[in-house]
Formats: sequence, structure tokens, C-alpha cells
Amino acid sequence: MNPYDRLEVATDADDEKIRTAYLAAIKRFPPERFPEQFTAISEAYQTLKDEDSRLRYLLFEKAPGAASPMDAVRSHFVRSDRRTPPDFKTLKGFLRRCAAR
Amino acid sequence: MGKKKKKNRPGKKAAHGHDPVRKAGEHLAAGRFRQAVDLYKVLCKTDRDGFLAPLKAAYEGLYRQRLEKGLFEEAAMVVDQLEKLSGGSAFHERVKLYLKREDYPKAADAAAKVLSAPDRNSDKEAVTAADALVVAFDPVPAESTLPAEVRQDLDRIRSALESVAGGSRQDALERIKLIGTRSLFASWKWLIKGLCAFYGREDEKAVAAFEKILPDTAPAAAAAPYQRLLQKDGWREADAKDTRLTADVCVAAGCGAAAEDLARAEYLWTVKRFRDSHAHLRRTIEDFPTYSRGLVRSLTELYYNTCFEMPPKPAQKYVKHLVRSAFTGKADNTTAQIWAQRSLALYSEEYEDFDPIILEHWEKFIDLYESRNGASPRVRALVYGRLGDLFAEEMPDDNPFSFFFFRRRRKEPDLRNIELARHCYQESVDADPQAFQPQVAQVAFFEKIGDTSRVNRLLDRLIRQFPDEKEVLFKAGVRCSARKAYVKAMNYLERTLALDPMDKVVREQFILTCIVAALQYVRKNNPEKARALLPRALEWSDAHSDDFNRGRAYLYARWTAMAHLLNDQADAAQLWGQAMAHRQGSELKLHFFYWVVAGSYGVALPLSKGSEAFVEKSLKGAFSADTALDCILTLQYANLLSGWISGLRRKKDRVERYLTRGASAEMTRQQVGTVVNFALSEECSRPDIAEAYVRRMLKRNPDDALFRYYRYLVRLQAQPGYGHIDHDRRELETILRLSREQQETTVTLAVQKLLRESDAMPPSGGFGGNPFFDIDDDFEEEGMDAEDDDFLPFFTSPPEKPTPKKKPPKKKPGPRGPQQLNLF
Repeated sequence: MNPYDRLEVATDADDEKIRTAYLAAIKRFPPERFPEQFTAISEAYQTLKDEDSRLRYLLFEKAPGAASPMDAVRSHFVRSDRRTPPDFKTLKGFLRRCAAR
Repeated sequence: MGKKKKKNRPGKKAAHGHDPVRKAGEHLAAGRFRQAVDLYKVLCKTDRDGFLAPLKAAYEGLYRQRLEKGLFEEAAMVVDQLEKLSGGSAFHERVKLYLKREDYPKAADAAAKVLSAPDRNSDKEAVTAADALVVAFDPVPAESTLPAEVRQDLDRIRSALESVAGGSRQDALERIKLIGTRSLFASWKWLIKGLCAFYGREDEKAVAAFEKILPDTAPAAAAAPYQRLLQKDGWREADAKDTRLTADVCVAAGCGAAAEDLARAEYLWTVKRFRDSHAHLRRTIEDFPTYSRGLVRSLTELYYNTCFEMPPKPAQKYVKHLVRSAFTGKADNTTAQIWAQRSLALYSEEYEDFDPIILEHWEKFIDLYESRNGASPRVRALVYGRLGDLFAEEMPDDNPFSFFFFRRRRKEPDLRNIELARHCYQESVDADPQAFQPQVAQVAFFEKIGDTSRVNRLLDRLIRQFPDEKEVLFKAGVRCSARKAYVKAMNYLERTLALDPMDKVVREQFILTCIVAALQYVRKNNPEKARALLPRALEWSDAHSDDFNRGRAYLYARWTAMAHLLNDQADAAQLWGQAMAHRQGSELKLHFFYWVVAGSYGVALPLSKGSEAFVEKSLKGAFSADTALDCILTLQYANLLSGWISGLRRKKDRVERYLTRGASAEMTRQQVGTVVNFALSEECSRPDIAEAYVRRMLKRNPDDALFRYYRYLVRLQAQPGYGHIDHDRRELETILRLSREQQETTVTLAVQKLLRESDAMPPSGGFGGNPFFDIDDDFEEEGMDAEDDDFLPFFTSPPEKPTPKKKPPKKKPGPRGPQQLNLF
């Protein structure tokens, strides 16, 4: 998952916004209860904390971040801080398709 | 002429006629349901009870086939037949048919009739009916005869699902609270519980809830993609083949709109058609690739970075595809072009031999980036800075055999492309003159190529521009110290320490500068200034350290020597008293150190006689591991000091003799390691010391990776051609295996390097063979513990090398060399 999504900030967010998002994220995921998420959030913050590191990430990062498109979908969603359920219409359609199997 | 159809083939008819039961069974098993139905229908006429069940099975199969193919009318006819056969009990199939046809009112109606029937239906029918009622999502008509409890539970489930979709998880849980575990809607209750836990990031709870859902029900099918998302082993390749599951996972993950495209892209990826997979997403997802955050950004990073994980050739093809796809087709393609050009530039860094091409790719990237985002000096500075670093990389030694010749390194490193590095660093600084990092990188480059005048000029400018940057101040301090401008150096270093008082490297550098400055004052006969530097050095020393540079006792010992040089015997006595009072290590170590620095500074011999006598007395006594180690550490430090020290060679011989006495004394593994390290280094002229200590350790544990590595070095030292033949290679491989098992990382790295160098060697015999193995064929034996005595002559020199004491040109340092920093 890319660090912008990890911290839930826009790609044009400035240092202050990123720091605020980082502090909010570590408040939601304290290290003693969520060690894995905490580490991931800290890493994301290190990547984005100032303009220099953001640009370095943008220009030179070589890690694909996932093993396949669906792995990207999965990791993007599972590791996301906030999971949003589908709207009622989509959910309805999804359940109907499941029932018809 | 068309092919004539053979009618009434006797053979076929005979086969049916002979064994229609077997044939019908074969059709059924092979999924040829139409043929199976035909045969069983005939068979039922003769024995209805016997063939009714397989006939129903054949109809059910036929129904499923028709349904899958979307032949709903035919499926409906099959259901009619099924109902005729079983007296109206094909409810499950009929409801599925309605649901497939998206005829929800009819499905709900049929379901309501089943659940309203006074005689209880089978559990399966009842559950299917309940599922149909839920997914119909239509209000139950008031005139319906549905039992009240079913109606209530249905309302609860529907409203809870609405709450889940609306993000009101608590509300959803409240609504399903009253649904019992024996209710027809129990599986829906567990699904909703699971969904609430899932969207609340309580994954374990979600997994537990989903596991309680009845199999083969609508909630079970709905839970499947969530369960797949929560599986700890990530997304498996096998999953990609189930495109329906893949699409469902996309819905569950909130990207339902792109579900089918992602499923297709995933399938193509799984069958290694990476370019097709990328092309598919380029065609179907409008904002792919992107710079904005979100899933598409993650996909962008995957597709544009995956080439760096591929082998060179497929990577090259893939990058070519990225570039072609970006630079052809859509008119407004800048984002894709930037991403593709970036991949190409990064790829070229790894595989392009011609440096100007790499530069060209990155410059094109900058142009594209700036055409989209406007002038970006920071991007320019970073890119050129990176290229500068790349071109200023030190080239590996092009002679793979240099290690075996123990050749000395050249003073100036061979850089990849000095001219391009110089150009790129300058471009980097010019792009963003206010940026700190490019200028520091440029200074480091000039330091690397030994252009000291340029370094000094740049540092002066940097100090003015960034007066509070620790890195600049430290560099300036070190630079001034090297130029013997000690006052200036101390000034810079003190400013650095004011910014970061805990930095040990800066503290040590400051102390060392104080020492050399004090020595200068002593030599200029300026005792006040020399003495005044002691408190400044002490301020940054470490009261509890036994380090020769940072330890307080050793600072006092140094100033004692300086006081002797100044003929101030009273001050010297007082300072020596302080040294003894602040001592953290042994008295022997302090005396030996004092004797060394006194010799190095040029103190008259009688003034260090007391310390020398102390050392001699210690070395004459019984062997002690601590004494041995203290002497070794001091000698290693003495070796770092510049200038000739009177009597040092004699003292080394004395210590070496002492060490030979201790070869069988009680010592820890670490202590033996220190001795062997010393014995293998240039300071030691007695290779037999290393041999004796290594043998003793290997007797204790023949599989000790570290000591087997030492034994290898001992042999290498005795016979420089060693290491070249197959036996030696096998020994290295054994050491590598053992070091991995024993987690001896340093040994692992050292052996890997030796193996790489061995790979680059010419075929065996290129260095005149290895006579060593003529006298020791047991080397490759693994279990040497029993044969250790037979193995004794492992260090014995070959006949043509009769002078073992002869010092080799240069020895390979062991994996644990001294770490102490000394700049004078």
C-alpha cells in the first residue's frame, strides 16, 4: 500500500498536514495494541515527512508494493486504516448474485 | 461432397441395447446429462423405483447446465419435469432460477409460499426460501401468510444490511440481536456480524463469525470474498483462476466498479502476460497510471516498478512495452509518459553500460515532469544528485586476483565516470543553489577525488550559507584539522557539539583535535595553551569509558607525557595520579598505553621506564587471558599511531612470546578470537600463534564456523595459492553452511566474498597448483573430531616454503578488526 493511503493524505499535502495525519494515525493504532500497523504508519511517515523524502519516493522508489494486481487490491484494502463498506445498491446487487449461485 | 452420416450404426445400438444401465451411468458421471436423462427415462419405464433417483440426478445436472449457460427457458422446463417427478419439491431449483432471471418478486412469492405452508419443509428448502426473501428486498405484502417470527427476522436482517451499507455498524448489530441461532436467518445474522467486524477492522472476530455460516447458502457465498481477503497468506495465484471470486473480492474491497477489469488483469498477470495485463488496465481504467492517492496509485506503482523485480531480459521487454504504450495512442498521455520514462531511466541505471544514455533518459524524464508540473528545481537537483552519486561510484577492482596477490589499494579510487559525476553534481547545485544536500554531496565528491582546494572553498561557502548545519560544521572541523588549523577545527567541532552533544563521532573527533593541537603547543613550547586544552578535551570525554581516545584516564596519561616533554615533572606526577584515579581498565593497560604514547610523542625513555617495568613484570608472570588481551589491544592501537616508537618491535616480540605460552590456557571463545585476529594481522610476526589457538578451538568444536574460517585464513597466509583448488572451495562452502547455521553473519559475508573471488579465478592450477594438499588430504572431511590428531599438520608449511616467519606482503584482516579511530 502506498504511504499516501496509509496516512490518508493527498499527494499534494504539505509537511504539516502529513504530520497531523501521522499523529492521528498513531493515536488510532498505538504500538502496544497494533504493532504491525504502527510500524507501517511510521515507515509511511518517514517516506513522506518532508518535501525531499516525498520527492525521493516519487522519483526513485523501486518497490512494486504488491505481488499482483489483486494482491495490491487486497493489501490496499486490508491494511487500510478505514474500510468503507459498499453502498446499499452495490451490496444488494452483490448479495443477489451470491444468492443466485 | 458432404460427409454422410452413418445411421443406425449396429455397433452403437448394440452397446446401448446390451448395457443401457452402464451407459446411462457413464453419461451421468461424464456430465452428459441430456443423454443420461434419455436413457434413464427409458429405464424408468421398466423399473421406476430403481431408476428414479438417477433420473432426478440427471435432471438436476441438466438444470444446472442450462442455468449456467443462461438458457432459462430450458432450465424452467427441466424444473417442471423435476417437480413432476418428485411431486412439487423442486423448490430450490425454481427459486434459483427466479434469482438467476432476476425475477425477485416471483422468487419471494415462491419462498413465502414455502415458508407459509403448514407442514414443515426440509431445512434446505426453508433456508433457500429465507435467502430468497432477503435478497428480494421487497416489502412482504400484508396479506402474506408468512409466520410472524419469520417476518420479524426478515425485517431485522434487511434493515441491518442497510445499516451496514450506511456505515452504522452498531445499529446493524442492535437490529440482529434478537435473531436466534436456530432462526432460518441465523446465517444472515453471522454474515452481518462478520461484516460489522470486518469494516470495524476486527479481523479475528470477522473470521470467527464467517465460519459459523451454513455452507451452500447465500450468506456463505457472500462471506467467501471477505474470508479470502482476511486469509493471512495473501493473494494466491490459484485464486486468480476463479474470476468470479476475484470480482467478488473487488466488490468487498470497495472497487466493485472495476471488478471485472481487475479480475482480467489479475488473470493475465498470473499467466505471466504482464504486458497484456498492463495494456488491459490502460484500456479500461481511465485514470491509470496516476499520481493521485488511492488504489489506482498502488496499481501504478506495481505496474511501473515490477520491472525491477524481473530478470534482465523480460524486464527489458516490459520496459520497452511501457514506453511504447505511453508514447503512442492517447493524445494527453503525459502522466503515463512520466511513469514510463521514470521506469526506463531507473532500469537503465541497472543495465545500461553507456553512461551518457542514462543521463539522457533522466534528462528526458525531467523535461516531461516539468512539462506537466512546471519548473521543478528540487526534482532537477535530486535527479542530478542521484546521477552524480551513480557516476561517482567506486569501481570494483578489475583484477579479480588482486586478493591473492595481497595487492595494496591505490590511494585514489577509480570512479565510474568522473567527468559526468562532476557535471551532474554541478547541475544539481545549480538547479537549487539554496538546497543543502546537493552541495554536501558535491563536497563529498571532491573529497573522493582528492581535490582538497575545491573542498576547502566549497566548505567555506557552505559554512557561510548554512552556519547551523551539523554536517557542514563537522566536515569543516575535520577539514581544518587535516589542514592543521586546529583552533579553527576545534571551533567548528564545538559548534557541532552544541547542536548534538551526544554524537560520539564528533566528540571523539574533538578530543583528537585537542590532543594534536596540544602536542603542537608542546612542541612550540607553549605549556599554558597545551594545558588549557586538557579541560576542553575532558569535557567531551567519557568518564566510564576504557576507550583509548575517549577514556579520561588515557587523556590524563597523554597529558602526563606532554608534561614530561615540557619538563614539568610536578605537573606530570599530578596528571599521572589523575590518570590512575580515573582508570576504568587494568593498570597494565594504562601503563602500556602510557609507554606507547610516551614513545610516540618522543618522551625520554627514563621517564617511561616505570610503566615499561610494570609491563615487563606482567609479561613475566603466569599467563592470564586478561593480560594477553590488554597487550593485544594496546599494540593494535600503537599500530595506528604515526611515527616510530622506540622499542615497540621488541615489545611486540615479547607479547607474542607471552601469547605462545597461553595456547593451552583457559580462555573464552571470544578471547581466543581476539588473539587469533591479532595473530593473523600484520602486527604479528608469528603465524604459529594463530595456528595453535585455532587448533585448540577446533578440537573443542570442529564445526565452529568462525574458527574454521580462521583456519582457512591461516592456510591462505602460509600458502597464497591456497584457496584456488576444489578442496578449498568445498571447505569454503562448508564454512558458509556452518556460519549460516550458527548465524555468524560476519563470517558468512567474508566467505561469500571469497567464493565470489574464487569464481573469478582461472581454472585450477593457474597459480602453480596447491602443493599444500599433497600433505593434507583430510581437509574435505566433515567430521574431523575423531581424526583431529591426524589433522595436526594443517598449518605445516610446504617444503618449498621453509621460512614460516617470513612476513607475507599483506595479510587478509580477520572479520573482527580493531574499531578505534585515530587521526594522528
